[in-house]
Amino acid sequence: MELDDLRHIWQDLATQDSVELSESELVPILRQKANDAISLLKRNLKIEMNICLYVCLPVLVLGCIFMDMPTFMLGFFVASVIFTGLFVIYYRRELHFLEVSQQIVNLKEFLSTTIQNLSSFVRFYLWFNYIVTPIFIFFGIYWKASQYSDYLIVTLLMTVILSVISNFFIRWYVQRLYGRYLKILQKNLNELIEENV
Amino acid sequence: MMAKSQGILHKVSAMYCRDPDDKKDLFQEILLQLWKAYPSFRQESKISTWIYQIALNTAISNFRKTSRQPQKIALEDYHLQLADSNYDTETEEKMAQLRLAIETLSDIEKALVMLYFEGKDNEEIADILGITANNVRVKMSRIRDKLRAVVQ
Repeated sequence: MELDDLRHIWQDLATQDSVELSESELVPILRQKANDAISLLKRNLKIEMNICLYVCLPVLVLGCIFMDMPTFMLGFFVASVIFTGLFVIYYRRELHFLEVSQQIVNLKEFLSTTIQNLSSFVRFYLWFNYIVTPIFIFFGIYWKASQYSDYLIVTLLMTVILSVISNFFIRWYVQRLYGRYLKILQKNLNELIEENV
Repeated sequence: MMAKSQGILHKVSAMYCRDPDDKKDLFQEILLQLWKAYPSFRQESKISTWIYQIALNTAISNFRKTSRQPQKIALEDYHLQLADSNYDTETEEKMAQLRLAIETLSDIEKALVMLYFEGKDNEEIADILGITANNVRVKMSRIRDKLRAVVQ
């Protein structure tokens, strides 16, 4: 049986069980959220960034009440610079991603751009966690430990240990979730552009 | 446009997924990506070519599918799946063999076979995939050999 003979069989096979949807059935599908890897990662990032903001607000209020003014102002300044920086970087990446994704046409371009964009978002996700996690751990422990003597050394030591453990876990999780997927995309791209296999 | 493209979407979903739920998920994902991408459609290519591009891009980069383990299936299982259909035994046999043959192909090879089955010439396939027509010829020749070995 040759490839041409399979054409007609393919038409039958491919349309088996396929149901034509009416316009009223299509509309709810179009209202759903996309489940491609970049959309999922961006959704996760946005959720984490919003959680950070919502956690920061009560901390700011508590800090304003209980901390001495110079320490509070220093903490506030550092946190503002870090979060503003992260948000600016994130939205610049998102704008760049939107610009690039609108120009994609063929599979080769699509795969190479998806690999670049996903790698870029994964890097940002990891750096976001590398920066934010120690800050939250530090202030969490500082809040409890400040009543003891030598609390600053203990706080710093605990922050380093917990941050290393937490970042190791985040890196493992992200690599497990997106690393394997990136390898598959790269394998597909290599296979596509390879001329003499 | 969405209503007209459903035939293509069903075919791409059938090529990349065997499980009915996976097919449905992929169909919906392609539909969403088409909807999102439509404002950037510049009428430079035929609408069907553009739909194939978006559909194949989505199917090959399907995140859900790649996060699952691929399942092996035997020829007998395909016969069981086709047992309730209205086809004669010979056609059923051919369909089961074709399904099994498709399973042996990589995602890129599936895209090439699918476009070939849809009557696209080498130039158009090259345009959709972003490779040279010569590369398409080389790949198709390999796929022919591969399928011939399975479907015999």
